[in-house]
This record gives sequence, structure tokens and C-alpha cells, in this order.
Amino acid sequence: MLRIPRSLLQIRPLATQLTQSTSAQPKPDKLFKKIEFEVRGHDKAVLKSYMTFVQSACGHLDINYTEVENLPYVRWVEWLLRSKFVHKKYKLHYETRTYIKKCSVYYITGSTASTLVEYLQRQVPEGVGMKVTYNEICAFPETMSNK
Amino acid sequence: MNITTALANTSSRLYACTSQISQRSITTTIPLCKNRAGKHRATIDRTRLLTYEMSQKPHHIGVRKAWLSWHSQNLEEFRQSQPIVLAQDEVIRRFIRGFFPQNITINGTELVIKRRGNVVYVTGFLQHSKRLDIRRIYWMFGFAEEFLSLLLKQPVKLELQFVTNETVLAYNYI
Repeated sequence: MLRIPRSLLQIRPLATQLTQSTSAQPKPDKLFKKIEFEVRGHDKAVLKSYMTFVQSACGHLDINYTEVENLPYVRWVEWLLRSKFVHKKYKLHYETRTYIKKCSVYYITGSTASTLVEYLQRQVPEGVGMKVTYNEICAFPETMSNK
Repeated sequence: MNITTALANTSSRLYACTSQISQRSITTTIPLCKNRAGKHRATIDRTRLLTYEMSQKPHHIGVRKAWLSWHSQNLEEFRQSQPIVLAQDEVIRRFIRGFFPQNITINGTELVIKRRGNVVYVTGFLQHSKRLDIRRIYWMFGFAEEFLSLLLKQPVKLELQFVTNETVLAYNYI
């Protein structure tokens, strides 16, 4: 029975763990050329206030951002006859408008992007949907870079 | 906007149903009342209480009148789970109306349901009678939150505010 002091046993790591720690290099951070936020909602005022919040947050964090772009609203219309019988001339008009606004943020790294996007998505108000589009810069695949 | 889309869908189905039914049978479909929805008839002695939201006519929606349930399922390109959300809203309203029978204001129509992410927030006013049993109310709140969260499989938070009497919410009397 070998008597190995506990201190020595604890210090010596496992062989597999050693190889993994030395070979695994930190992955280079992703680079984003542009991240576009498109916000859709039924209420113009809510979207406007959310966009001012987005711009002020980016300003405080020293992130480059573009101006807010207002896109034309998308309209869904349906009419119903007002009367039970006849009178085609008189209808009830129902419509739903989806207002759209766009804003983009450019030249940021992956870590900044993930925190920023998560923060902005947590603050999205109710009744508003957000769509995020990425333009990522990545290296050419090996087949192309070797040639 | 939920009500308008639901009305539109049911109206088209209603026309289809009535064409197939023979002349001698009775129609049992619920009347749409699209011409009278959201409007309140005046009383002779001005006893009908109206809150600000109720007093605005439907053509003011989006201008002076806001919606009672806020979700993103009516937006273009975001319509993944419209019927689920509609059903959930109905379930929540009926549950609150039935669980707080003495406490609801104006027949339980004054509830605002908001959805932020996965969480459903139920906001509104409840009235308490002169005997305010705080322990009972806390228990009922907790039970309602737990029950709705388990039922809808989403975190549900109640943000109901208590008011002494529903006359406090009055905007005008018609």
C-alpha cells in the first residue's frame, strides 16, 4: 500500500484534461459588418420611443449607429356589409396597419453584438416585434484561401 | 384588432353556414353585432358608468382608444400563433372573472393582457369591499398566478391594482 500524501494527489491533473487545455486556443471573435434591427408594431408612438431608446443606448455604449429609417406601413383591409340584407353601398371598413422602422449598427465584434442584442431584445415593449439581420465578415473557406 | 380579425373570420363562415341551411330550420349561430360592438346605449337617468376606454367609440381605436390585449401575433410576418394567443386571452379573462367574482369591476372587461417575450402580464383594476382581507387577497393572487402559469405553460404575472369602488374608474355617466 503506497502512502501518497493527499496534496500530491490533488495537484496532479488527469492526462486528458492537460491535452485539451493546451490544444484548445481561444476562438477568434466574430466580426459583424452590420446588424440591422427592424421593428414592427401597430402603434407609431411606441415604435418611435423604442427607437429613441435604441439610439440613446448605442450612443452611451459608443457604438456606431445609423439613423432610423421609416418604411411605409403594411395594411390589411377587410370590409363587411353594414346591413343584414341588401345595401351594398354601405359597408364597415376594418383595417390593420403594421408600422415598420429600421435601424442598424455597424462594425462591431461578436461579444459586443451578443450583449447589445440581448439587452435591446429584453426591452422590447409588448405588441412590438423585432427582426434582426446580421452581415458577418468571415474568412474565405480553406479551398479558396489555399489557391 | 383581435376582435376585428375574429369578427372578419367568423362573418365569412357565417355566410357559408346560412346558405347551406334549409329554410325551415333555426339558425343557432351567435349574432355578430358588428354594428353595435364597443358602443354603449345611453340611459334615461344617466346611471350607466363608463370608463375612459369604454367611452371611446370603435373608430377611435389607435387614436384615442388602445387595445385591451397587446401581442405581436397580428403583425405582418409575426403571425405564428394567432389562435393560441386568442384562446389564452379568453381563458385568462374567464378565469379572472370567475375567480374574483366580488372583486371585478364592470363585469370583468377592464383587464389588459400584455405579452413581453414569454411572460404574460395581466393588468387591471379590482375593487375591494369595506372588509379588506389582505391575507385572503394575497393567497388568491398567488393561486391565480400559479394556476394560470401551469395552465398556459408560460410565466403569468398579475399586476392587478385594488380600488375602493368601481365608481373611482368612471370617466362619464351615460
